[in-house]
Amino acid sequence: MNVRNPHRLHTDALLNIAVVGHTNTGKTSLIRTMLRSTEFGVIEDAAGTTRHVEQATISADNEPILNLYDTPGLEDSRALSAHIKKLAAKSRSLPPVQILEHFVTHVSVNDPLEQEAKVIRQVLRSDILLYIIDVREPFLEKYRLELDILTQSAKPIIPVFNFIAGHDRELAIWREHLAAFRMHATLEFDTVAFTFEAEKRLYQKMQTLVESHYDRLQKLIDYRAKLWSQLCLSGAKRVAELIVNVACYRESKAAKNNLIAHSLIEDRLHDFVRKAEQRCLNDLLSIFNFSEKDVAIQKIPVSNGHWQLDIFAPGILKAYGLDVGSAAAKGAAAGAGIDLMVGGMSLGAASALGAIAGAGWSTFRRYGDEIKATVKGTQWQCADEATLQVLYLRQKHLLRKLMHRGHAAQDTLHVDKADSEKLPDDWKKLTSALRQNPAWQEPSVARNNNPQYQEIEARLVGALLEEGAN
Amino acid sequence: MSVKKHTFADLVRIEQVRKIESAKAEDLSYASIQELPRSANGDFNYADFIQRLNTRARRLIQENTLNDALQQPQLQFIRARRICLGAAVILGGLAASQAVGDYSTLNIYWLLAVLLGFNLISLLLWLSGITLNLQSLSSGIAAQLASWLPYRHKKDPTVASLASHAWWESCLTGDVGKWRISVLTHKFWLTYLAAGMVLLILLMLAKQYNFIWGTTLLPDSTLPKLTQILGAPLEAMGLKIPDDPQTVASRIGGGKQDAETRMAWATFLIGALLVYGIFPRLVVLGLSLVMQKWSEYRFKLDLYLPYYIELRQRLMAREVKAEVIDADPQAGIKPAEVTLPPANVAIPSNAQAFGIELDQATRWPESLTCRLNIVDQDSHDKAIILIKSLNGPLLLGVAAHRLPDRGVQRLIKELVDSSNGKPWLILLSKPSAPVANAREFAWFRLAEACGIPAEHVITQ
Repeated sequence: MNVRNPHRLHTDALLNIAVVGHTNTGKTSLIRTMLRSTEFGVIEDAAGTTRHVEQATISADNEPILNLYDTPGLEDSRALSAHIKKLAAKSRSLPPVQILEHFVTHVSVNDPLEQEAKVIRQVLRSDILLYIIDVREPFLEKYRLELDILTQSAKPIIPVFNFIAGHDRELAIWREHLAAFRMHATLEFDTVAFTFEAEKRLYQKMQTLVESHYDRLQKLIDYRAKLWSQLCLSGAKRVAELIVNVACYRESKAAKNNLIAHSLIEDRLHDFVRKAEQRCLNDLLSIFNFSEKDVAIQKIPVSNGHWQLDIFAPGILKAYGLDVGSAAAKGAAAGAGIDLMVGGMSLGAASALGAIAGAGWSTFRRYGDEIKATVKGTQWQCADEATLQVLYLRQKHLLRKLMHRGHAAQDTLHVDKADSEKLPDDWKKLTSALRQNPAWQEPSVARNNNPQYQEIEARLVGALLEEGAN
Repeated sequence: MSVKKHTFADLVRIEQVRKIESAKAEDLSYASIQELPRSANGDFNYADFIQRLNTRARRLIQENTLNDALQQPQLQFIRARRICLGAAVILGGLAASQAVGDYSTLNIYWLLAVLLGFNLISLLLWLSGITLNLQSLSSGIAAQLASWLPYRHKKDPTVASLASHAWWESCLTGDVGKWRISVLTHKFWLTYLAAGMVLLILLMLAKQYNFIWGTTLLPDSTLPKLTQILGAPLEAMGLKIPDDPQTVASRIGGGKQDAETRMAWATFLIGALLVYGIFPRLVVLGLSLVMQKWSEYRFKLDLYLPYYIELRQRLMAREVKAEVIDADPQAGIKPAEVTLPPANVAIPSNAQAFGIELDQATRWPESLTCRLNIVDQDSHDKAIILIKSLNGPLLLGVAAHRLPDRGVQRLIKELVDSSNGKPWLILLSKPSAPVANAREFAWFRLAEACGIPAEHVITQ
């Protein structure tokens, strides 16, 4: 039996990449992350979860780019190494690769090394090996033997460090040991704390190893980069939409200072904010394809699809680094009066001209309600500043979490630093402009074409993605 | 490039369904879209997605008989347009008949001013509005009113009002709206001019008019000169326009006019209306129609809206096609049950402790000292020799948070086989690494496989 891939000689054949490593180092997780799918393979906290070789194809814009092969974990490398040494001793004239080929063709189904044979068989069929390392493990002899055997296949190996978060010392030790195998081109790719940059570097490493696939891999990188930025943008836009939705919201109330009416309005406002935030949360989780399990892994303070802490709960301001003397956001604040400077039509020469031309009509259209209210003596109630701030900070924190995850299942000790998020510089200006434009509350073509709205949205989106992107 | 398979009307319909669904989802029935084909294979594709949205929208519309409600706004718009054009016919006719009056004289520049002057002003306003991108300049009063419709919000929307709203929003705002309203404006003025001209021709066919002109403020030579300038393109087209003597003779209060002069003036009048009124309007109407089609072609749904994001996940979820190429011969075989060790097993006295692949941080109970930590073949061989020579129970220490693999199992089995008595296993834990239940189970299973009885497994 010839284990070499019959397609290998064709230049248009796909790049075959075998993901190998010791058992339970996160091979399947890595593939899931690369495929952006939680459906591939089985992940369990046990040895030998994957016991077969499974293939999946990564494509860019429907053009297949490369094949990934998930392999069983190497479990007994000491026995494997001993076996191969024995084979080598028997046939001294054979080159090391052929010894491996001899091994995989002659292994029986009931052989205790059958699982290892599967791995080696796939290794011999592949163009590049990704050797996954759980850096929390000490560098033991068994890992050295694994590397010995894999090097014998004469395939380029890219060591990939997994579970690196918070294990810098261990990582350094592993690097040192790998250097002894002349493996310097390593990669840190945490399947739990996923960053798009790491994935990009992985493909770039592949590019340097197989020149003939350079262009195709580049296409994949570009395509993935585009998708990733679209995804982040979708998320940020959704959050911006929420902020706009809440900031533009207003409740009218009669001028009479009626306590009951006031508390009713406050309840309605609270209800509105909660619902809006809930919808946003659902949408964000759905945009980033997050399951209940992912939420738990990322330590997002969400359970059963709801925020654990209510937005009006006491103590929430402090949790987000807002110390404004009160423990909870009150929710309602008296709405400001007409403020032409802030809420007015966006300025700029052309629009100013237009404004003059259609001033009477547009002004009425825009401020009709306010003028009517002033005449009638009604007042507005808006969401207060603290509520908006918490809303923004919480969503930003969530967004950052969503942008840094992998499709992996693992226990990590993430320290939640929700209070590190910052408000955009011109936050006050943005929110007061929004408050002045209640018509923007719901999305519409007219709103989205409004230059002032566009600017506010761009600011919010920019600020949301600012630190989250790296 | 993918082939565009949808029309603007499809997109508008999708938008209408979106509006209705966002406010009235609970009133709709969704039975027909249950068995909508599952997601497409491969990567996301805008045209495919729209196709799917369209299929979904059509089914929903059919199931909930929304068709009439959805088409209502379009019909309303067509009706409004007809009324507009009807008004234009009447206004044009009135303008022409007013300018002619009851007399048998026809004031040529007055007529031109009435028919072409306002037209020219509106055309200039439209041009500057389009070039400076100012909606308020390019569209007239009626259009301004129409463009206000999308801003109107009802407190309790009905399906019909939502459908109308969505229609107004997609068809009367943005680029599409700008050009659609432009088309309407140009059609209005075109009808106005055409009506005026037709009436004028009819009048001139049936009555005999003397053409006159006059001015109060301007010097006498201005209007004849203007006639020459305006007439130049007409002459180029081969039409006969009044020459200088004829023009001078037609000054108000002049003598009788001959048929030739009248004919020349009539030609001039009709020619000027055609060249300066109808022709430019036709050109801009053509332009606006093209631009309307173009902007409709370029119209894209705002896929960042939560509604579409959610549908995108549902309709376009990507399935990864994975394929097992080297199957597991033992797939489907369930592992045997493990007997759990009793709690609080005491450490045997005089135990000989060996570590299995332990790291520096692992702590033994104080009563024990580890004789040897087995990390490689050398230490393994040494341990086997030691164990054979030792008295007292063999105690193997493993790091509970680490995962037992077949290699470790084989190693432990070898150690167990080389010892004389019943060996013990101790699961050592360190504070920095919590141990999951599944891990402990894996070790229990290993103990069983290696012949270590459950009551000899010590957990800490």
